[in-house]
Amino acid sequence: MKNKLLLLIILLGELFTFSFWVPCAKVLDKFHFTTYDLQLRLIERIHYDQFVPLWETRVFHNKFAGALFDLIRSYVQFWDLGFLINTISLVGAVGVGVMFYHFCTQKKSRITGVLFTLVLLLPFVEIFNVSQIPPSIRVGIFILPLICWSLMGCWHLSKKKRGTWIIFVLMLVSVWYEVSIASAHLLCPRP
Amino acid sequence: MLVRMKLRKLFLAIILLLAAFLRFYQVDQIPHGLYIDEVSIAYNAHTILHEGKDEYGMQMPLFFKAFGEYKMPVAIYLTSASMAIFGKTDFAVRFPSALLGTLLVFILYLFVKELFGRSGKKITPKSIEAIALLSSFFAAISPVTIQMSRGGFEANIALFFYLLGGWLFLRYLKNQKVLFLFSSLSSFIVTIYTYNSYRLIIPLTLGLCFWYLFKHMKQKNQKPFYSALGFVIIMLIPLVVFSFSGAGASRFVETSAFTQPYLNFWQKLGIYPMIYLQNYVSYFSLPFLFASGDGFGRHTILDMGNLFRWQLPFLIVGLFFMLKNRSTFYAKLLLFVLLIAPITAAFTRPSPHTLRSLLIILPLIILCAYGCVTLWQKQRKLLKAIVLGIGIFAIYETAFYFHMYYVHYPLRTAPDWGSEYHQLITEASRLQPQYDEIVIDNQFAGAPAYRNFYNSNLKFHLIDGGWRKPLAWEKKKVLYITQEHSQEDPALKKTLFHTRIKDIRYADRTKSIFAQFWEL
Repeated sequence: MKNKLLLLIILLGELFTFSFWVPCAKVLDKFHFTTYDLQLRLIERIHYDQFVPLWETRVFHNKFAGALFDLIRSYVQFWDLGFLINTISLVGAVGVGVMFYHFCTQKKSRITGVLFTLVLLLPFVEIFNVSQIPPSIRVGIFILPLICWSLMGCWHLSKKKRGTWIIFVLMLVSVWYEVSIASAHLLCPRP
Repeated sequence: MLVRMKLRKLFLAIILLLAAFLRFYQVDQIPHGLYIDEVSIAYNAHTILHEGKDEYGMQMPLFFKAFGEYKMPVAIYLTSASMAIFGKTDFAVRFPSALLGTLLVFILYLFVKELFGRSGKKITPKSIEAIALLSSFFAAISPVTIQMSRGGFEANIALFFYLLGGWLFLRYLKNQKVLFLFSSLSSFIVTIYTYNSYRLIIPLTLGLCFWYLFKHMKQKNQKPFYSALGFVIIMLIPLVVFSFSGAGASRFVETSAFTQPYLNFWQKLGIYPMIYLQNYVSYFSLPFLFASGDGFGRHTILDMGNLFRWQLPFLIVGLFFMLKNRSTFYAKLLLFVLLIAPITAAFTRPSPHTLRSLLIILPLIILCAYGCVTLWQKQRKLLKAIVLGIGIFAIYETAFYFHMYYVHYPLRTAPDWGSEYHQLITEASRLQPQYDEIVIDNQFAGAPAYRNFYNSNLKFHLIDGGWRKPLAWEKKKVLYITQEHSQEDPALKKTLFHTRIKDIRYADRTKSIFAQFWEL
């Protein structure tokens, strides 16, 4: 019962943190991948290749490698601790980490397997910027499975020795952070 | 067995040669030009070498005054020694950092062997050897270690001494020879006297060392413990006194992240800890580590992070296994270093900042190597195929990095370094005999520092933007060095007479004008 109550409070905390994203007009460009940006960047890079054999320019500044680097750059933004703290709170971010650890060490169930896949793949909805969907919903598509994932992590953490205390302290810090310097608006400017 | 040992030594020798090549090849040309801190260190090193005094005339000081703050002494004295061998050259200024950056690769090998050697039978000697070799290889080729070793960065020198201290301490734990203990403590003390960021990290590290020694101290053998403690306290007294003086705190005040004067005490109490938290977590940011670095031209190559992207999967695996074996000595120590590395840097802005948190790179590199070896040793073909796949990408990305470093970097980051200042001073020195006075616009704030190093005989006046040729100088021939002005500039037309003699352009691709020389 105590653990369930704890999870409910964590859920409320995470939703409260995520609520800062609701009035968002657009997510910053650094989270997105576009072929247009890639093209511009490649052109800019190629201009620096002075006195360099053509093959070298082709090897290092081509669309395939550029797209791969851009995708990696955009994707890792979603696993940046700062981003997670601003979307699902500090306690949520720790829960995500704990659940990844738990998922890799324990026997996997089908539900956790599906959730794991979703959590890993859904950032691509935002990366490819499916622009018909409003930004807050688009981020929500990624965040909601992540919230479930983090709650599962917190559940496992709460069963550990001193786990409840750790969660309690993290929750206090999370609330403190959100109340004092929540910076979701820097990642996702208001209209 | 003997063949295997020879093979290991051969691998290590190749890695060290590679590290040396990557650090020394064209080090005086790329990055082009010494930046202002390097010049300040170099000038003080020069005066120490020839006069035994710093630029302000202080005899062999422990803290060097520079640009309104104080510099730590180790880098300056090392540069003095380097200048005694190589003369007053750019190479001499960067030599200590490049040399210690190369030696760091070797010490890391020894450290990792010692560290994982304490894990009992959990890791086989063969794996330990592989982790050690791979760690040193990663340290040899990682973007951040190369970047830091090729500039005269105090942080890089401090990193070497910190690692050396750590290795010597592990040697002491193994052999119980007091010499190792004192060498280790001396090395930690040298670290704290090298770079400001270690003013918190070293006390924490020493605290851990003494706690460990105290915990494992035998009743009969207490003498080394107390003499070591006394030694450390005595050696740190000057720094403690200095840190609490206004001069010692000046650097902190300058870079502090906690400077919101409009907040009252209670607001500060509420907000500052969270600013600290925000800064602290930024050092573990994946984009900072693997994609874009801290964005400073001096610390980062465009399109690259502090580590290679291909190291990320190995780091994740390494972290996972470290947490799984969290009760082992190596896991505890790596976690400790990982957590304390940004502890000082988080007090400052901007965050993340590569130099101030350079220590974080050591545990990350070791974890990458650990993850790679662990993954390879799993007897699954799929995992081996993944490692090989990453290996292919690794070759490409590493080649990409060197392309960016040797082709793009010099053309892109000229304003971040100081080759144009060098040119300015050289040109002004060449023209000096033809003019009665030389005046330089104070927008070239670094000019006096560069003058001191490159030609201390050059005399000039540093003047404000609205300067006019005074009537008293009416008959004097004046060389006026300023930022870009056009012939039609109304401000300049008011001067008595002017002819544009020369432009100095940025060495980057823009070739925009850095300075113009006018005859008045």
